[in-house]
Amino acid sequence: MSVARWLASAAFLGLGCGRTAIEGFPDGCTTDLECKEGRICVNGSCEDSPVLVTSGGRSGNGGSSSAAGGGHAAGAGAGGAAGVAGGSATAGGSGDGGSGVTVGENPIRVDVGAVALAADPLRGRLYAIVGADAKAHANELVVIDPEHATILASVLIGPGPYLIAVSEDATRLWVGRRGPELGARGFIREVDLTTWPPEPGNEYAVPSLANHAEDTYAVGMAALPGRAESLALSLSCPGCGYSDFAVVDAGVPRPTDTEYTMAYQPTVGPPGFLFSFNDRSSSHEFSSARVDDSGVHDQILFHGLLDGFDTLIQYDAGFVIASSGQVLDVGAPESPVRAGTFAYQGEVVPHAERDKVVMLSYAEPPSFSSNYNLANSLILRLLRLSTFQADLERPLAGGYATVYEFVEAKPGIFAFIELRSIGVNPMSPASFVHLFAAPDVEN
Amino acid sequence: MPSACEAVPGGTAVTCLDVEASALIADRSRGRVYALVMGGAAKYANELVVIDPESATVETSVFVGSEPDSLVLSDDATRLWVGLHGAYAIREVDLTRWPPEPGAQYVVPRGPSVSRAAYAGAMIALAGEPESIAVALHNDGVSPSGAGVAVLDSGAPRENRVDHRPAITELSSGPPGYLFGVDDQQQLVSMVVDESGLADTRVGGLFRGGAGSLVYDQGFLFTSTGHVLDVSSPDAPALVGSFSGPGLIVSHAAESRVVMLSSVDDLSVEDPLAARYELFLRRLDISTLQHDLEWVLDGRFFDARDLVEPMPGYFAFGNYQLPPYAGDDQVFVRSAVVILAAPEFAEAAP
Repeated sequence: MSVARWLASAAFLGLGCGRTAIEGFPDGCTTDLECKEGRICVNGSCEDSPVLVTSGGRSGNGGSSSAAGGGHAAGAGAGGAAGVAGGSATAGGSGDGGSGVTVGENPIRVDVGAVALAADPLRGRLYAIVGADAKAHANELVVIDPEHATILASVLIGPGPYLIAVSEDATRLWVGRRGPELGARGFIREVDLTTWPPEPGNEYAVPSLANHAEDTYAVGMAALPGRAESLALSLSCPGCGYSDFAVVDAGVPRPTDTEYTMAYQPTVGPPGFLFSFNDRSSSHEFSSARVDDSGVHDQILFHGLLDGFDTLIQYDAGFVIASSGQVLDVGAPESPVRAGTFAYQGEVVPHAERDKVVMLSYAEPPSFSSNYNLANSLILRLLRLSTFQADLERPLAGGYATVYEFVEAKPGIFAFIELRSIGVNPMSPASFVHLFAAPDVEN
Repeated sequence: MPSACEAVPGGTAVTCLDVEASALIADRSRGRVYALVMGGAAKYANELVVIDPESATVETSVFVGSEPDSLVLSDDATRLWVGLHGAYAIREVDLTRWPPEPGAQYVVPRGPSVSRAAYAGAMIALAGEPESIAVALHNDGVSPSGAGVAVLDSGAPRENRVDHRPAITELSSGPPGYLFGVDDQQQLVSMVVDESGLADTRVGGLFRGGAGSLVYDQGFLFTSTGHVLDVSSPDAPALVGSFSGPGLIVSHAAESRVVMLSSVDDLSVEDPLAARYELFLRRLDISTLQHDLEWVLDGRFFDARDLVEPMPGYFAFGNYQLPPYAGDDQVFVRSAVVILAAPEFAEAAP
């Protein structure tokens, strides 16, 4: 998911305003505002913020990566605290790797200022890309051991990373980059995952939209199955108001693309199909397009099947599952129908082949207006795809600001990013990765 | 989340069931109430719940599909049609089996001049055709939501539909070959039904103050706003008169009466989200428009909807909360089903 939508992405998790006090924290702080500068509120007491003050993972290992490759593997380092009931514990704040912490049902915070996450199912790792403004790991790809909430390695990938995708065979990771250092143009960069540490490789400018040779950038990115060098991109430009599909092979665009459509969020469907959803304007088209060696073509737009601004979609085993709770049956990809609607909203991890969807939601209508106020409670639900009923639900310990990027880092271990505003006058945005285990959901 | 039953005392002729119903219908041939429950409910999510009104208990429940919120019974009571808002579909349920057995599911057709996917709103069963229903089509995310009316035979739309402007919001049955509706300009819509589908004519000016929901019986059309129309000549409907106030109606037109459930808003209740309505049941004479019997229900209630009479002298309705306004003090209440044992209101035996 693009960082450009990170704030908005939380909006689909709920609506309106929420409560303002955190239950279970009668003493000490309830917000970062009550802590001195550089400290944050954790479980009701103020702690140093490793994200702002210390260097999180990298300081314990020495040696930074270069944009041309290299990087460093994690060495032994101090571990984080064990999980504490009633709140999110901290791990990996002062060193990399070897913490001895085993992630449990209560979320453990990893102090990595991530803007996007991707799981590596082959290696059981979690990849996080870190933005240019972070005080630690800025512009790096950080490799996290999700089971122990430790940083295994980090490598410099260059300024402005905001999109991430792992190839189906997990040999390659793609990073979308954009930022002032790069001009108005967007770039994609490949990272070799078969080496250790992962090794950044070639970088390519994204294909240009017509009349926008200098300022086209990707608003969405998906790895195409079967070809590690191939990506589907949603391309847009400042003020365009539209996004088009393009497919690139090692940065080289295929000849056929779509024009002047609303192809946000490229999502790989069944073989030969690419889906997308327009969550940016009220027309809210769901689109189905064919993808082959010539590129992407025969796009069909469907109105009224999905709705909601900032709604995210995922494809799995014949279904498209949206964070709005709506589910499409795309068994016939050119004539999708609504299969049903969950009564809940939130980012999902689908397991359609097992008739399951895991959803992370705000327990109550959330507050986004004050990210220093950890007012939002989270609830994890296991939903059944065939009946649209909730089989299991349980609250996650702790209070949170804005959360997004819910992924299954490895079977039974889930991760999400929390965006907070920390410090006092001025406040600064900071993000964290949270990890928790949910074996009951996985089983 | 508290239940709407909390302000309804037990042990009286009024029984409140903790069933979060989105819609109710009566099966008079079997003396049952069918209730639909939406997917977010704590119990019976996405299920059809069968209620015995005499014992005021849930007899059984069966899964029917995603977000069920409208239903209609075929006139031979062999089939129930359920609108699945979450799936943009309708589903038939076989009532000749026990427990009722969900059958085929059909995608709701798009409106005649709207390209958006549609869901089923109000539905009416066609007389003598258990596989056929008229469906008011609606679109999510647009206003007005109405997308016309279509007749579906086992889910397949007949060719001629009623267009969507102005949008039709309510439907009722009518004399043979006719259906009625109300559009969002408060015009009465008279629809001729034949094998090709529907053709409509619209008459304005009949409903001062709006129409609300419609009930047809014995040549009369009753509105929940209290109006009574003579529609024995469907192409020339005439206003007979109006009751003294609005309310939900069960028709006993064969004996020239209706039973109406009305409410009194207790303005002394400061919390706009609290159960603030006192409800009373009245028996009204169609010719004089006056009531000759009145019963105040024990307890306090939220908004009432879907008044039905599953057995003579037994009534049921939904007790639900309108969506709360946005604010910091939002309170949500689980809707419920209320059963009334009111034998004095039973229709006289024919």
